[in-house]
Order: sequence, then C-alpha cells, then structure tokens
Amino acid sequence: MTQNRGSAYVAVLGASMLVAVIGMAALTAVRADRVEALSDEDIAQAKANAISAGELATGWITTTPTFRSAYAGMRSAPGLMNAGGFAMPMGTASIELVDNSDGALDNEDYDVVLVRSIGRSGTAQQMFDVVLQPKGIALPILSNAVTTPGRIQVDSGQLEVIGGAAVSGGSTGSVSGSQGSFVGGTIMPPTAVVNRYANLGVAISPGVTMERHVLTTGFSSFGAPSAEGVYVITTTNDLVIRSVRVEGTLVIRAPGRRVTLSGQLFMTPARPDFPALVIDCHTLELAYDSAFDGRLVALSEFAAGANFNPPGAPWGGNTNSTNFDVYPSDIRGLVYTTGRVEATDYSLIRGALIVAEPAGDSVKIAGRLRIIHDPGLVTDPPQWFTSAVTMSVQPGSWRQRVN
Amino acid sequence: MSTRRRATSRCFTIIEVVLSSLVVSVLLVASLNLVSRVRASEASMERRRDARRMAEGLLAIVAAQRFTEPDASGTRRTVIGTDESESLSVPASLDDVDDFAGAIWSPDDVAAWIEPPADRVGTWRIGISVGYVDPMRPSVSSGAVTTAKSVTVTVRRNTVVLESLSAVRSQGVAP
Repeated sequence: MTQNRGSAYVAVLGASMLVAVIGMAALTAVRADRVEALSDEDIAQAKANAISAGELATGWITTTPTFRSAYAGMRSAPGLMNAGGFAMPMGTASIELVDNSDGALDNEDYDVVLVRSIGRSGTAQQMFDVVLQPKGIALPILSNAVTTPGRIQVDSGQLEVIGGAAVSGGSTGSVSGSQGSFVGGTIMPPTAVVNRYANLGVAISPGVTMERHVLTTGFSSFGAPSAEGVYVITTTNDLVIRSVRVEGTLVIRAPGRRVTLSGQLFMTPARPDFPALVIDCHTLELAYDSAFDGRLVALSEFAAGANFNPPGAPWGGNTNSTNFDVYPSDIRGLVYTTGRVEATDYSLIRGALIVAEPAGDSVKIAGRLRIIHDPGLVTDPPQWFTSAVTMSVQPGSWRQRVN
Repeated sequence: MSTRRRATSRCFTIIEVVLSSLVVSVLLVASLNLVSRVRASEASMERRRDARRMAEGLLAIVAAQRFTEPDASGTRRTVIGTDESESLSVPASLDDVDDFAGAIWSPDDVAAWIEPPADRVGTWRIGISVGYVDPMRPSVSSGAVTTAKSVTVTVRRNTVVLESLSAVRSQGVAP
C-alpha cells in the first residue's frame, strides 16, 4: 500500500527532470551558438586586418626604395613595422618581411621579399602572405646597341647597328646605323657586376679552350648544372671558346687576358633578366661566324662532333642523343666586358654590347660586327644593369596562411 | 476489508493531485519561457549572422575598388566622396574607395551586391564611412591626404549596431 503512495510525485518529478535537462541543453546550445557567432565576427575582422596590414606593407615597400635597410630599425619603433604589432582601426596587426633566398633582407636588392601579415581581433588571429618581386629600371644605355666611353675604330669591314645607336667617345671608319656621343655623366654598370653574377654561378674549369660543351639550367657537360644557368670561368690564361651551346649566363674572369669567341657558337640567357655574357678581361675578340649577308652558317652538331641537346638540355623542347641538329650561331642578349673588343669575323649579337674600357680604341673592327638591338633589354633589364630596383606584387601570390 | 484497502491504494490522494498539478504548472510556465528565450536568441543570432555576411560582402566590394580616381586631366582626386556623374543613390556608379563615404543604404539598395537578410522585420541600414589614416599608424585618422584610407561598414537594425567591420586600403596593389 505504502509502496504505491507518492508514485504521482515520482512520475511528475521524473518528467520535470527530463524537461529541465532538455531546457538546460537548449540554453547551452544557444550560448555556444552565441559564442561561435561572436567568434566569427572576430575572425572576419582579424582577416580584414591581416589583408589590410599586408596591403599597407606592400604600399610602404613599393614606395620606399630604402625599405631593406630601414626595416631593421623600424622593428623597435612604434608603427607599421614594429615587431610587436600596431593598432588597426578595429583590432591589431603585425608584419614581418622575410627573405627566403638567403635570410638577409638588406644584402641584395634583387632578392624576393615575402610579406607575412597577421591580423587580430578579440581572440581571433588570421594570417596572409604576399610575395613582392624586384624589377629593375633599365640604365639608359640599354637602349643603345653599342655603348663604350672609348672610341670605335673600324679598320676594315663594318660595324652595323640596327634598332639602337652606337654610342661612343668617337668613331672612325664604316659604321652603319645611328651613332651617338658618350657624354660625361652617363651611368655605366658598376664593375662589381662581374663578381655579382659570379656569386650566383657554378664554377667550371674548361682549361685554355672551351669546346664542344653544353651549359643550360638543367645540364652542364662539366658536372652539376646551375639552376640559374650561370656558369663562372676564372682563369689566368687566355681563353678560346668555340662550338658551344650556352643557354644561360657565362661569366668569365680573366683579368688582363684575351678571351676569344671563335668558330660557331650559340649563347642565349636562361632568364630574361640576366645577360648572356659578362666578362672581365683585357680583350674580348669576337671571331665567331654568324649567318647574315647571305652567309649560311650554323652551329652544327655533326660538324662539331657533339650533341648540343642531350637529356636535360632541350632545344625547341626536344632532346636526343644524335648529332644531327643545327642551331643558330650568334649571341642573344646583353654582352658586357670590362676590357676592349675586337671583331674579326662575321659576328652577330641580337641584344646589346657594353664595352666599359674607357681609354683609346675600345672597339676595333677588322671584320663585320652586326648588332641588332633587343628592346626587351629596356623593358626587362638584366639585374644590376639598372638605375633602380622597384618592388611589385607577384600576381596571384596572396595566400591565406594556416598554422 | 482487504478489497477496500487495495482499491484505495490504487487511487491518488487529493493532495497528490494538487501537488502534481502545481509542479506541472510551474514546469509548463518555465518551459514556455525557455522556448521563447531560445527562439528569440536564435533569431538574434541569425540576424547577427546576416549582418556580418552583409558587412563582409560590402567591405569586400568597397575594398576591391581602386584607391582613387583621376580627374579628366589625370590628376589624382583627393577629396573624400563621390566624383562627377556618381551618386550614392546609384551604387553601381561608384568606382573608387572613397566614393562610398557617407553611404546609408537599405539592403534592397545593394541587393545587386549582397543578399538581403532573411528577417525583413525591422529597419535595416548599412552605413559606410571612409577617411584618410596615417599609413604608418593606421589607427590614427589623418586630416591630411595620405596613401591609406580606412573603410568601416556598419550594419544596424532598428538603430542597434549588429555588426561593424573595418579595413584599410593603401595605394599599393590590392589583393
């Protein structure tokens, strides 16, 4: 009897407990929803702050030529580059500049810069990366076909310039095409340009004659290839180069010596912002044969007895192991030399020639030298042949970063 | 006798019924109150989500515009506000960041850019403010012309601010 009494209480209280638990769960869910909504608001603001900070940093870098040297000092000062961050209209942000090429931001104008921005709001944090790439402004002399502070002397044959002027300290003999006078104050590339390119390259040792060799970004007949396609020869002897194919930049350090390019050869830079040849020597002799004025000349694998497009060094997209391909015989790109130039054959440069030798007859012609100026040297100048370096956002490089 | 006792024990007493009814009544009132609060809270959260979505969408629209608009002679305009042949009443006519300064729109005014809120009860307003800031200290407003502009989008419902988002645009290249 007593066992049944009070059963209604138990039933009602049980139901009450159930309803109460359900109610508490509903309230907890609503509270969680609210926290999530507030958190989403913070995330949205943090994201806006990160993008804004990245854009502000980009704006500062692109308008401040000294940003590389100024950055370190600004890390401890209040403001945009402060290491601890700075206030945004809503929330905060911080910026870090990263040089992934060598870790040192202020040692090289041509290093790519990664801008890392972090935006914060409440407890939320969002991160973005953007890449800024360097672009040089061409030295005015890159609009010339030939530039030399010395004199051009054509003893026999002809210097022919097309698409740009031959600018010199004076000329005698047959010069075809427009000419200009090298005036004081003309900015020449720094002589350190040879070593700067040398620092990027892979050393090779061909001896006194470099013949039947292939150098590209993916292949080197001397051993390990250079990813940038820059190969460096340092010698104390005279050097002769013939029957070679170089799709890259050849740096030759032969101070006081003669470097002769002869026979047939084909040289073109692997990168549009690199030159074809950078040479420190006493005399650069251009004695190689090119096809112009009806002459049929080519760099022939069969004639040279070498394969110039082995696996890793495609030509026109093709590689093979035969010796039956032919290539143009000329130099495409910028040729720079610290010494004088002598041209003794039918040689063609599709680019420009800079001869830094200031004294005497810095360019002597006893054959035919044709230079067809490449306007691409002005729009996309080789590194360090520039008057200034500007930074711009690499298209498509904005990325949200996740820890 | 035993039959009577068994019959009595199977029934509720009047006290049991009264107390149970009391508990159930209190429970019902509390439950209804709870349901009401939950529904109100859910609706509020939904409105906030809509407000955030609209603020984010419009901020992206404004931030995607060019920093400034040159005049006919190619000179950069520096005055904040609409330029010739532009009007805040025609949002599609606005084409640089500061054109949006002072805009106060209903969701229908900008339905071409952002989806209106699900809850159409009440008066929704989207306001935009734009002003120059110090590019090296972007939280500091500047009375002078600078290379950075702060944009703030505020979404209100019945004058209550539901969401406010801010971004800073610079003359650098936009993302």
